[in-house]
Amino acid sequence: MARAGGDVADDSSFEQFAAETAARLYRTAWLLTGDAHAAEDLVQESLARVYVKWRDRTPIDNPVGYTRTVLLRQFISGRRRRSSTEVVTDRLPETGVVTDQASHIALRTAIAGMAPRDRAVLVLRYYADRTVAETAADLGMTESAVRTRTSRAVDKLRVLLGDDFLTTTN
Amino acid sequence: MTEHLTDLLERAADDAPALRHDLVTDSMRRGTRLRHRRTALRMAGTSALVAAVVLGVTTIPRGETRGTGPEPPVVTPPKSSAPVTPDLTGKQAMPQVFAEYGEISQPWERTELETSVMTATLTDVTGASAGIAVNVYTYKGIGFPGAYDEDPPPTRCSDLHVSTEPPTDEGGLSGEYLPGFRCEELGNGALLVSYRSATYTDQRDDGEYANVVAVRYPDGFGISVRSLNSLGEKSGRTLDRPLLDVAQLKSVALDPLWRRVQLGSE
Repeated sequence: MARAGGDVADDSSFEQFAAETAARLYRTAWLLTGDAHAAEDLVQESLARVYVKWRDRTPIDNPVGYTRTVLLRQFISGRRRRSSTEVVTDRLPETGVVTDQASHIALRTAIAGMAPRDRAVLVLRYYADRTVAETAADLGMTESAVRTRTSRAVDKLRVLLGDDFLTTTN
Repeated sequence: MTEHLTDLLERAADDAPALRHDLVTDSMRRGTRLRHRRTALRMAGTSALVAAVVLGVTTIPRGETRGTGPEPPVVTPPKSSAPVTPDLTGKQAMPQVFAEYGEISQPWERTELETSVMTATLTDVTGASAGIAVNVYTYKGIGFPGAYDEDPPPTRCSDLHVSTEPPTDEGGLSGEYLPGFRCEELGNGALLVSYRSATYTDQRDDGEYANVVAVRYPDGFGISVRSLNSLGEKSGRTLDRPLLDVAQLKSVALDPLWRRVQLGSE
């Protein structure tokens, strides 16, 4: 990946970077938010902030990772602000799902019921394939906190999706 | 669990509805707006100040020495609901507002959409001169220190995300790094923040910095005032510290006269 921070006129390099990463970021945002509109907004805002740095020639050694961090930061920040009005569903998905589509819905529903930071930890660890240390750095947590939240999130998935979840999905 | 969950998340993510917007183009447009607003809020017109020349040293003996002047008068912030007809240019307003602290020279102003960016040289009673910058704005957008966005606008200090410690990793989560940050709630949702803004963050750092005070009112009106320890941003440090301290800048920022400054329109 090209290093960010080229010439002022280097819009084309940002366009290329954004075009290469937008789809993956969008899917990450969609897992986090569970809503296509919110996911698009999240990606747009995150890329916009990276674009500002790009134009400022601020060196970004890992633009993909940095943009993902910005996205997660936006997500957590936004959720924190809306927490007072957030409606947390108490509807649990049915367990014992056997079809792939149903398992996807169940998984997304389960994620939607988690705290924003738990969602972020889960997505980073298992979707973005980040290590505990990397996740801790991305989210500004201790590694211990990441492990705790990961364990809690996975346990919650087990409860919501069933112990036989893994075998039925393979 | 890890492998299976990873696979399931990958497949679940593939179910995401198709993108409905061109995120690349939209994000660049949004980024351009952010950049424009941020630039407008910070010191603009560096060249104008770099070339600033002290024209005369007429002193107005109020602020006796740098940073040790008398306590500024308590100024009641204007009520945001009170309609005020803009009838002054920034160049006209600056000498009036800063009169208590010295003489304004080399005033420069640029008005843009819903904002006015002003710079000048301030010469105090001791004859010391340094740059000042003022930005008055009414738009609703990102720009207030520590505010990730303004939807909803920040109305409490707890709405701001600021770290007074340098970031330890790229980005981090602790908030915008603003050394010496202080925040006051003025009532009715108005916020006043102060901090120190270094010009350089790398090896070029020569100790040039600004004291900054910014106020945001719930109706979207805002003002940012900077006092430098140089004649202009990135022009090289000429004083040990900025000409005006935070208390003096607060007095300046809360002056109701700023409401009368005409802003640019599209």
